[in-house]
Amino acid sequence: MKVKLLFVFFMLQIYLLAQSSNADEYLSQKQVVTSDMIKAAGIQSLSGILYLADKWDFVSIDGYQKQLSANYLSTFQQQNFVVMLDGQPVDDGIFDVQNINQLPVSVDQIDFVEFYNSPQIVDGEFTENGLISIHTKKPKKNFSVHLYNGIGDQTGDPGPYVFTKYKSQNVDKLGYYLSLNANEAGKDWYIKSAIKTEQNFATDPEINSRVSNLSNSYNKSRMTATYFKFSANVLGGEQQFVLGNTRQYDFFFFKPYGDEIPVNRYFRFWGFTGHFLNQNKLNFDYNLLYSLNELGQWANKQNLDFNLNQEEYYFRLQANYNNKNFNLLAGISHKYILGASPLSKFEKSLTLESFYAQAAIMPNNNFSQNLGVYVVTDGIKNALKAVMSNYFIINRANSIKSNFSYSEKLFSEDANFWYWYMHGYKFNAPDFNAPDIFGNFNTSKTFTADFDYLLKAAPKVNIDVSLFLRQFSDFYVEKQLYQYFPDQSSFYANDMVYTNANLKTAGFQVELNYIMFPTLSHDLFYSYQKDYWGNNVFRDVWKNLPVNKFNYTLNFRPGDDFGIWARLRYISSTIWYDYKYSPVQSASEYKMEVNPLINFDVSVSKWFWRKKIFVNMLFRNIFNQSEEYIPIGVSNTLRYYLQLQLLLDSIL
Amino acid sequence: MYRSNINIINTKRYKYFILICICAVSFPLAQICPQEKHDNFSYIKISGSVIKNQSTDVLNKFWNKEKGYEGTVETPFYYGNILAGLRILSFSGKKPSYQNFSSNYYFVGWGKDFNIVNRVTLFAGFRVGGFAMSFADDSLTAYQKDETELAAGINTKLNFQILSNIFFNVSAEYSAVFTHKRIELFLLAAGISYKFETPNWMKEFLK
Repeated sequence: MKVKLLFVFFMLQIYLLAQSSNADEYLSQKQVVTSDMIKAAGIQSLSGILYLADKWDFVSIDGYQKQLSANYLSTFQQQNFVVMLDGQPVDDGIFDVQNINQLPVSVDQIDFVEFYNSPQIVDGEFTENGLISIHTKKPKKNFSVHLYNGIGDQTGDPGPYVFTKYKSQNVDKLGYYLSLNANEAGKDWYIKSAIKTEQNFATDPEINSRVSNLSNSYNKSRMTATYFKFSANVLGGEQQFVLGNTRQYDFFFFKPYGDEIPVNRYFRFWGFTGHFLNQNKLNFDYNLLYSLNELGQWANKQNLDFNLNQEEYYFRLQANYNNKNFNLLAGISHKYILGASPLSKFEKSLTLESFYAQAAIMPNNNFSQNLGVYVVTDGIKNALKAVMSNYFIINRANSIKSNFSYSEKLFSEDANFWYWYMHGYKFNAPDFNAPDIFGNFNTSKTFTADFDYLLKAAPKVNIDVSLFLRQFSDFYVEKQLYQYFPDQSSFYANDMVYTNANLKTAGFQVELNYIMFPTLSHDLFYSYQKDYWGNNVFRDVWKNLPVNKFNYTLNFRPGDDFGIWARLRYISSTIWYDYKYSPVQSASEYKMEVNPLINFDVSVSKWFWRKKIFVNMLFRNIFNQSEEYIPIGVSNTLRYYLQLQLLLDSIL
Repeated sequence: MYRSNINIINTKRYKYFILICICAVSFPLAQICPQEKHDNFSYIKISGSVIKNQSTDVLNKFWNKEKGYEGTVETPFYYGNILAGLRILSFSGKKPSYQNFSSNYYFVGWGKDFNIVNRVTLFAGFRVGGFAMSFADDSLTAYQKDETELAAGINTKLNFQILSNIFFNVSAEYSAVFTHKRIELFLLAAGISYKFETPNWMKEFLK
């Protein structure tokens, strides 16, 4: 019966293919954040852009790095969303810590960022956990120099009262960001080169005491990164060479251990990407990339050292056939990952081969459809992923969008701590016990369904109401009932991994955009979700995600050179069962439940010298409420950020 | 105890209340009696003032209030005027353990002018900036010696036109410094302003 249904379905696709046209733009389930939006909101670091991604949730321990969950496609435990920089899939994640700030570009160089919110095939990746694609600006002709400088500070210093009975702890600044870009562009080519440095300060007293437990030095993480890109229009398309190098001294939160471990992190990559025969109906995309993730040692009191190198070789070739009526694409990719730790005499490699095909069709102006199939194999097991999207315009005011996906995920695709651990990797901490793993790591399965109803209620009012369903099967989730040790300010618990966990969740979202005047616009976003069936351990972890979320954004731009942006943000409380013993053991210093968050941010921007100088002031959390995302994370209050950008284009 | 609380409210808060009221009524008034409309950055007004610190904040238990100085630059911008400036205030400790310190407040602000009578205007607006404190004790490390904190306040100013481009002004300001224990300042000031047409090169820079 299933085979017959599939046959009928494919016949329908073939029929529709014969009458279709370009449909990609209608079918993409994504949010685009532009350079202007980033500037208006006063964003200073790459991870700060997550404040603008309505359908993505994040938590942060240090206020700088963020753990993400894309549109309820995953919990915060496995950080396997895809990150792309200028079309290259740059895998900076290691042991489920993926810090997008490590990408060697600064916010002033971003042209736009795409947040893919539902499973689909994008540039050879199946986005079952979401995808963030960062595109940098193309330089203006001839020589250009861009300088960016930003600083953030939190209020609450003792001031002169430090000499009185009212003395309190000093609150250090939050971050410091500096970057310099030099670009040269000709008619059909350009070169971009960039260097950036970022510093982040552990201002929170709890984090300070935890970090001091292991760290020998001042509680400041720091990063230096360089980026080089050469682009040329040859072979009928744009060909690019990219080279990135990031070094970061960081406090790496390693969940199985329970604390931040000082690490010396390297992230390097180089590769080629491009399109050729772009003018033809048949054209090709390719990627060739090498990357190295090193988790090395930063001197610490217990001599902890991950001593892990993760190398990745990636190749992809995709053929596209574009017709007036339809788009077809088919591709293959090959990924070779090598994990090595000389200290624990560990070396293990894995190979992932992917084959995929997609058809986008538009039989008439009112209907479009997309069907994608993706197969991945690690040589032992295979996984099938499939997606179908539809877009139907009912009339000028009403349209419907839907997206259905089924995806299997191999354990090897995660290539995280659990994968390396199961193949012999050992972490050298003397008090680190072997985790308890219940069952076997299996291929996980996810089914998603998203329905959107789009209404153009008035010429300047757009409403999008969406319903969604998620079903997860055979997942592995971690349960770690941390014990708190006050004398060391540290947490520890044996990690318990439950495999074959299942969960079903559903919810709805409402988006409203109202352009009241050319100078004033309002955006509303509300999201509700709830798990309704599943294993208790999975449902407990799912409580890390808020049930309700609300954003209201006001954008006032009386002129081209000046703007005021304001956002009210509400996130309902979240529960973290891993810390259920902490309130008692820490005398309520750490809690299990994170309180609802209500934030009001205001950003003021001004251009000077005919858009050569950009200045922004951002005030975050003006109501001075506690902004906390995770029980062991920072609790930020009112803070302010300043940034200056100098954009000297075509000066020589 | 009850009586003493009432006393605190009466003596410490009434000034702030009056100032807030002036600012609150200023904006509707500005619509009724608007100033002449100006293009963005069409003129620049430079002001210098001497400040008397009239604060009754808890800070006064530990430090004596000294005289202060303020300089501002103001120019028309969309629906009012924007300004930027620097205010210098000093505080001397009442005991040796309370370190003398000076504060440099670097601020930007926005406000609106409206006519009261001929040659007299009232300006009301707000300011926000960094309140940089520098402590005098040489035994402190460089890290402890200087500290900057966010500050914000409301300000109102009466301008009396003396000559075509010279003004005498008196102003009152309430501002809060967002230290762990807030510092609240109530300041009175008097000074002179000079107004001139913005040079083209400066207009070019400001746009």
